[in-house]
Amino acid sequence: MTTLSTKTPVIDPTPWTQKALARAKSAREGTWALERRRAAIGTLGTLSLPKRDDELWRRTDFGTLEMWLATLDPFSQPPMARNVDDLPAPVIERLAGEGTRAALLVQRDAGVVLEQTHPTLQSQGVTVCSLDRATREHEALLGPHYGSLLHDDYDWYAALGSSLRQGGAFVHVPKGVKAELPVRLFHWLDGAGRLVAPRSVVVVEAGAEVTMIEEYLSETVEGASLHAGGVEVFVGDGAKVTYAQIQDWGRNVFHYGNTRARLGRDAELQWMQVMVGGRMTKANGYFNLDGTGARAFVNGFMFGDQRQHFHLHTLQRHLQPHTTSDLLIKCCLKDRARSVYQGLIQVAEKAQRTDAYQANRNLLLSDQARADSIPGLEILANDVRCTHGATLGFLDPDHLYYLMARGLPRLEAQRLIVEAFFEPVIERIPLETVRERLRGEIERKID
Amino acid sequence: MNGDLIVKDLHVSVEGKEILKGLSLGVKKGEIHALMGPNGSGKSTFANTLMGHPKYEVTSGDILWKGESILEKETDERARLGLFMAFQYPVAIPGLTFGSFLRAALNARLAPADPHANGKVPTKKGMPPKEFRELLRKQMKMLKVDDSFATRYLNDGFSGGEKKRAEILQMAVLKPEIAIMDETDSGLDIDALKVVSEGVNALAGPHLGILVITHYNRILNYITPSRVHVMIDGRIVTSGGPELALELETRGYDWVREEVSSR
Repeated sequence: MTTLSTKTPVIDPTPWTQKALARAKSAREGTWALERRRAAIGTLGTLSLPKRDDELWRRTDFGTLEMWLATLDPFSQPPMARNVDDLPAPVIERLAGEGTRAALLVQRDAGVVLEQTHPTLQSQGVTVCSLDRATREHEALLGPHYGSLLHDDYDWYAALGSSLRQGGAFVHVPKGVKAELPVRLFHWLDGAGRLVAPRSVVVVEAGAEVTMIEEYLSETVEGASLHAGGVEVFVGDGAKVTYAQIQDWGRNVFHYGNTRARLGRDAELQWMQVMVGGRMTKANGYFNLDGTGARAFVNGFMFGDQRQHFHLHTLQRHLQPHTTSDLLIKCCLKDRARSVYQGLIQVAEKAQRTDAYQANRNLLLSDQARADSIPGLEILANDVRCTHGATLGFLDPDHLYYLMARGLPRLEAQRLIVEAFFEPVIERIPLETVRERLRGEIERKID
Repeated sequence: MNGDLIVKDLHVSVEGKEILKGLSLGVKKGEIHALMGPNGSGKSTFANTLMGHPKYEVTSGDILWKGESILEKETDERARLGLFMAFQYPVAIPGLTFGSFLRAALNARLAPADPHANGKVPTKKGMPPKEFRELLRKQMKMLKVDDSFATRYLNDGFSGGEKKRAEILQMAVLKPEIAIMDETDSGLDIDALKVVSEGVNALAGPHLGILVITHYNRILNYITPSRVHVMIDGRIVTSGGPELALELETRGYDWVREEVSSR
């Protein structure tokens, strides 16, 4: 019999949390938010770093990060940007000249450096600002929502994130308002050795609509960085939210991210989860269908090369009757990349007439790559339709042959096949410039 | 034996079993050849061997393209030289639109051979998208194909007839010098067969040599070959003019078999 060694934290986060608290005070963070921060710090003290016997951490080892952890800086904050021109060049490039056709919030390291609400959205009554600001200015809207879906005691990294929280966005769309322009959030890291813990809250009231695009970018540099962030999305009764989250960090970044969504009656969520960057990714997306007739559509893809590691865990939680969830996660791996998809459909006893679907498709381009698929069902109701399935395979030689018989070189044929594999997910992503960017990224990875 | 494509005493094995046992044939641009034979005679093996399918092992003999052996060339290189095969069973690739696929293929075909490109062939440069769309639209009209073809996923949800028309459409756009039609008539109703045959006839001419591979001579009612070859058990056993196809129709393959065995 083997004994599991108890891992003691390699670092004591107390100096960080004390400093974070002091800084929040001097930044006049809302009193209620300071209380939450204190509570999170308390929770963090009761937790230890995730261990390999924890089911959600068995297949992802942040050991390398833990060695770096003590050296990271959670407080790096570059100067404010006066306008878009002050932003890092890669962010400007991503905006592709469309910076004026969206509300824009840009986080650089630990701080939000640009909050740009568009006049059109302003006149519609839409709020887009940093979460730090919202703790002071929008307590009544933010207070009841913040932390109600994403709990500090989820694990050590979640508690760390809530304790060191800095940056992230607050978005509020009033009842019945259909936001005419998208909201774009950017996260950028300057250099290595960063620890960032943004938290975003999106509140979309009954009958309202909004499109959100969130991108994580940085250059690949020597040395590790950690993102430990969270997003909570509240889709009101009859409201509709389209949310695309694109993780395209440099290869030195460890990405830990929690996303939580709650859907009200007849609400609709279109969620897109894209992971192409970073060194290791651990993402948990929970979708609570908490109103009759709510519908969640979750589409995602991961494309890994070299030794990239992606771990996505999703939970489709059917809490009320007549709810629908439809999830498709596609994963393509080359070289020695690795992915883990761990998905669970939960149906509460009262959630009769649930319609839930979960599919995970994995395409391997190398025999050294590895994709694990761990689906699960927990059904307490008796009148439901739940299906799940996973597939794993290499490139179909008949497809390659067909394309090569039309004159396309092997690599080019392979590129078209991989692009085709991702395309049904890509085409759901808002904004053509973002889609084109992702296609380009896929192409670069194949070559 | 002469021609732009010359096959010399070709022996081909699949998983150790010899399928082609000394096949010789020459096709010149401007000619239409029909290769007929019963099931299991090796017709599809021959077509795929010409195209360079990795499953088929050439144990002896040669395939010459304008006098040079192409045995060492990969499938895509053969295609870029100007060899085309209309597939009996085209594969469906959901997510890849017919238009973007064909534009990439055309750009590969048009790309000049560059010995310094390290095997890379530019498929994004070449014909501008607008010009390509016009070309495609013109060819679609000729083949009575709906405009929506271009934006549909490659062969995905296509009917049997649509798939075959899509193959001919690719041939029309890629303008090969020698085209192999592998059982193009199989699974087509008479109307689809007419459309496909009309397309082939419209493309036929002094710049294109065609090798029609078929089990039945149904398609030969619409496409008139200059030469007909009969293939049995991995060899061409007899060749003749168009009248040979008619004879096969009325008498079947048995008389050829008997004639061969009595030699």
